[in-house]
Amino acid sequence: MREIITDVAIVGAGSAGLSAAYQAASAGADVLVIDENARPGGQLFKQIHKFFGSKEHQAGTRGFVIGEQLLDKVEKSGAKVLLDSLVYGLLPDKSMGVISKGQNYSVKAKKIIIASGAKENYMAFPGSTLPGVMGAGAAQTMINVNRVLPGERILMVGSGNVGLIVSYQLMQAGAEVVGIVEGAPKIGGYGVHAGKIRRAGVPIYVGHTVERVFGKEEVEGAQIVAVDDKWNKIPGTEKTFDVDTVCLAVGLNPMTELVWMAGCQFDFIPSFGGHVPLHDENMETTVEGVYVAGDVTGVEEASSAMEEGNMAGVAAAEALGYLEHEEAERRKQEIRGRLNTLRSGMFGAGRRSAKEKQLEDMKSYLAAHKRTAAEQKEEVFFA
Amino acid sequence: MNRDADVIVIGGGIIGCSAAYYLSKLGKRVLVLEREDITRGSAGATDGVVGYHTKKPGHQMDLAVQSIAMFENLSEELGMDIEYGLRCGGMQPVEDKMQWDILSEIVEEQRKSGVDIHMISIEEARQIEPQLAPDLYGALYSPTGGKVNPIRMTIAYFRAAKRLGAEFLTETEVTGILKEGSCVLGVQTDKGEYRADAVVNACGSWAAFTARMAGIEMPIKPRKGQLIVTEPIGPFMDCTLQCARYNVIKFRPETIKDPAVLKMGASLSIEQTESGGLIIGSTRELVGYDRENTLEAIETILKRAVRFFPALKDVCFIRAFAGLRPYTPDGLPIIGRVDALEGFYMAAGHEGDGIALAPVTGKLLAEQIVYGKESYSLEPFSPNRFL
Repeated sequence: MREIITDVAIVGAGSAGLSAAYQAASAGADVLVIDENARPGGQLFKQIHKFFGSKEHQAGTRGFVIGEQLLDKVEKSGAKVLLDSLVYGLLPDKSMGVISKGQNYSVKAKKIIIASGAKENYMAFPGSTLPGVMGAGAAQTMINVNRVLPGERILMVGSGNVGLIVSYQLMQAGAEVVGIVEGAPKIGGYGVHAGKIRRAGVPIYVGHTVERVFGKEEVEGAQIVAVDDKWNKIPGTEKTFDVDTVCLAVGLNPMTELVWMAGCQFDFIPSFGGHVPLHDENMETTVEGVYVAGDVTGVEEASSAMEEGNMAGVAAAEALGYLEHEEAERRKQEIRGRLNTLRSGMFGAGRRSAKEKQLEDMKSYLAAHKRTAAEQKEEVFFA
Repeated sequence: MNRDADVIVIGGGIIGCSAAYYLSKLGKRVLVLEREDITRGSAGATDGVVGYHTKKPGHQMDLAVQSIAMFENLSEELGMDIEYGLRCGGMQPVEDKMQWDILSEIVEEQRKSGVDIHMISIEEARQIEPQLAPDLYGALYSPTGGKVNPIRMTIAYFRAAKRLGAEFLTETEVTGILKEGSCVLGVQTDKGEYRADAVVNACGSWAAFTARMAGIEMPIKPRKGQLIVTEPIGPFMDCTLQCARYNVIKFRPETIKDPAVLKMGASLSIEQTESGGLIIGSTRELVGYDRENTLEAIETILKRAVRFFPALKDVCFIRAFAGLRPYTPDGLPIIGRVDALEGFYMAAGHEGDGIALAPVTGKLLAEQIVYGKESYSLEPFSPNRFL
């Protein structure tokens, strides 16, 4: 087995991973980014809509442009990006098993940053395995990256930002969206996205859920039904749609497999998508030298993923001695400030309190478990 | 003196659960003490090969013949489907003339136990297993071997024993053996004392520790085996299959020249489970109680799998795990009474044959404890050979 030795290995070349790579490599560290996809950029290149927020977060710039700018920065920083490459294991000695173009490698890194992102939630109902039922993210990849229309008449399930944005983009790509189904009594995503959809005449059925999808070999139609405040279906309220595609935009969950393998401790935070790794202000987990960044730490959005990546990259570079403490602290302060801005307001405050709980739980864990450096040294000495 | 049971069995693995069942069947009041949970050790970390052809010629083969016969209606007897693939057959493809000669020799000895094991050409082998690589040299074939789900089998023994009145205490760790002179009185645990007339040490790879508590040295060491699980696929193979190197490493290690091969002990062992996934092993490593997988082993095992079954290169593996096999210096299990300590019995050291030999081990040991004499002699496996 071939061996690759590097300072920092980063799993995932999306918003968080690329940002981490840029920070660590431009500080002077030897950085290797590994991604299973054929193209870098993660979800950024699917995002043809303009970003929100402040100027630092490139409000008004479209996602793929941000992706191109980030890639350019990473390239200039000297970080290496290994594409079409799968990290299949992370062992207790922190060596990673990587399959790249048919070759098996053992990657040994001083610091590991896991930025593996999130995957779409699935929803089960009669007919949910028929071809034509797909994740909204998958539909978005088909239209915006592969330039293939998944279907002509579409029912979207879920009115969060993903459901709203993908509905709009499907229409831009030439499909007809017959409606958006939302189980909650009100729309989940930003008003500005919902407004565009409503102005285009697409009905949003709040307080409804999918009853079933029917069809012989593929989706031929779908039936929805109203639900009461206890999510019980209300008989007699069924509506049937003639559709060939049903998209599910019912949330995401962090892809934490490698983080579990590394032996990290977890929190359970439903608003972040379920189990999320404990980490400190530096994005370091309970396993020394293993960092996390982006949606894997709790599902948020691209801007905060980039900032978490920046944080992990700076912290790893500092821990390796590539950044002086003062300089690292200055950069971290800036990043923290921007993260706090992102996690504020009507939509961000909830995420901020969830993140605070995660950081608090990390502190409690460390207080209970982490021995002092002196004790650890003593142990090694007497072993 | 108040007794908590007639017999205390230490260890809730395949051997302990089997012993508990057969002892209960003979009317004994049995208490099983398990440090963690049922099947948490090797029984839950292995494949389910129940073949003759991987058994050492002589006593072990004779014992296997008795044991495998018991599998025929074990599901019915225990009242639970143990997914026994009756007569799926066992095969060992060989890569060259040298392996052919070594295996032919071993086969001659194995056949003395009256089992149908013979050598066949690669063309014949591919008629039985069409997915085999055509450039192999030939194969050993045993039409009567089987396979089983070892976790279900252990749980089946556990439930059947419970139905017969056996009591199981999990999360209960034995910390000492209670003795009076050269007589066992019971055991000390982290939950208190339990007394019985007889104590069975069925602690698998950990049996040497338990024996030492009784003042007895048993040469049982853990040997790690790493295995890989693939995604479920359609019907791919019927046999349980090991490459010839499996038996060569097991019975003629001196013929292996490459020290790296010996150290990892990597040979192919592969079977398809009822759910469609393949279980692919394995290594034989003496590395203490470490149960981690290694990248080298995963690579070595998968390379061998693709060497024998080229079509596997397009199948994903989804999981890897490792289990510990209780190794003994002479390759034979340790079953029966310890002469030096009245009431103390061993049932451990089966290495990779624990699943296949579990029925006969439990049955004969129960007979020895209850009647003082077993229906088929356990003498060659007696712990006294090491004392």
